[in-house]
Amino acid sequence: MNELIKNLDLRNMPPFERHSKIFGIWNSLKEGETLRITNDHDPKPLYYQFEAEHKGQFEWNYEKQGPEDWIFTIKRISDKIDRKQEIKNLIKQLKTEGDVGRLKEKAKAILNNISPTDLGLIEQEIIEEGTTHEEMRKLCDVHLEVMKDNFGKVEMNLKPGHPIDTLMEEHKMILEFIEKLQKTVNKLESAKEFNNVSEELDMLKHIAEHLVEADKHHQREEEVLFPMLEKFGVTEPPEIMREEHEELKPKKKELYKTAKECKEMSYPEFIRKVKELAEYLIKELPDHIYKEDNILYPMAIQVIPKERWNDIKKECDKIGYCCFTPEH
Amino acid sequence: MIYNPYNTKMQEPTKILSEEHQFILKVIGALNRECDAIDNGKILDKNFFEKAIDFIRNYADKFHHAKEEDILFKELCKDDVNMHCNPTEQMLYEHDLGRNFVKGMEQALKENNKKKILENARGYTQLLQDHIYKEDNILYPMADEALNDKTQKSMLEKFKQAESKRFTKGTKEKYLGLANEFEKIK
Repeated sequence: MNELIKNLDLRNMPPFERHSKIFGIWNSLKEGETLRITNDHDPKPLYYQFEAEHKGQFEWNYEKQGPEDWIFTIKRISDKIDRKQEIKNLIKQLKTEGDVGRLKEKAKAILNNISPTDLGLIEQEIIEEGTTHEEMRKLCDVHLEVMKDNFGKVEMNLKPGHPIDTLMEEHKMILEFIEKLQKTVNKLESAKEFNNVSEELDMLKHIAEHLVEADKHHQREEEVLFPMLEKFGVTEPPEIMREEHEELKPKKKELYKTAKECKEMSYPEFIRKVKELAEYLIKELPDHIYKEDNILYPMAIQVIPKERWNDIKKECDKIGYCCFTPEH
Repeated sequence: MIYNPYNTKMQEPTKILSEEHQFILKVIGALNRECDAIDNGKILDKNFFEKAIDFIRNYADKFHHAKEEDILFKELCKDDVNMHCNPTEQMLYEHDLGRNFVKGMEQALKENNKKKILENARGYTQLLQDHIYKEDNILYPMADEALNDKTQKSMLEKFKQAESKRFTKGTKEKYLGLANEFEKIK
């Protein structure tokens, strides 16, 4: 991405010249470009002026907050108010169209340049204005399709042991289990009876057991991370993730039960059941993980203040980890 | 860290002040319309300007600005309030500029100087429109963020005291009624 940063040092500039200078540069900024300012005090009035006159068009970030110098960036982003209308129209079309694929190109244009945090906030406003949950989940699915096409991966540069890093490492392990599940089911399918597949049966049991074991992972999210996100105003995405957990849980348990009690049914019946459950998990689990890794977690890193993560880590420790969790 | 104060809801004291602005703006609108009408040949209506000056002096200044100057600005200027780039000084300066325009308007009325009346009236309306915009959008949100709950509560109490001390019963209603009448003059 071709991002441009313009630097401006206000420290030796007479106060009456400062605002006109800033707004002069701001007006020349193109979408995605940033004005980086060094100042001798925290420019709160300037922030509020931006809030009043350019709401939704800028992102304000502090790099350094005193005690002598303040460094902050004002990035021009495309107008959130317009984006909101576009997204609302998209949701309406999704409702009548039903087919996600056909709207993908259109959705791409709208969703491509929007940051996960902004999208989350817009989604929330739209929900508050009366869009149903079901409609919102459709939007979430399209968003996912678009993101996958771009191979867009968000780099968060987390240290090992950071609660989000641990969750993501666990995701990697879960994805490995999913891969193994696919192979195992293929092998089981090509066999005709329980004889000769005892190795595969053990493998299936092993995988299913570990998928169920991921409950601690969900618990850390639902009891620590999600409430924290909600506290900082992000309510819609955690709600969707919770629902997905609820849908995934019984399938995982069912798979484990089927693997354990396989000998109580006929081989064709067993295969039919395993296939059905595995297909569901092989499709839905990676999607769910992708959403968390690329949307929910980056949002969490953005909205939850740095100093809170120590406490989050402690709460996570209390709940505990999965047997397959790498070092944390 | 992204700077994003989620609590954008206005606090009670600044909400009161902001609502008072709405009444002041009604009179400012009427003043602007009257000036335009005079430019277009309407005969000078001294009574209109006298009533407007009465409203500005008593409601906008004595009732509204006094609450800001004696209560809100004082809180904002206290040492322990972490206000960077405190804008109250500029606001005080603008209040004074406004008072000068009103004085000028009053004097011009006595002198029957139409040109000077219009100059001062327009100077006042332009100043106050900008001033109210700054307070509603910059100063008040800053104050909401900087002042704690305890201070907010004590300010409300002081507002009430100031109002009852300066205005006898019914006076406030009289001026609000006047502002609504002004609004109707097209």
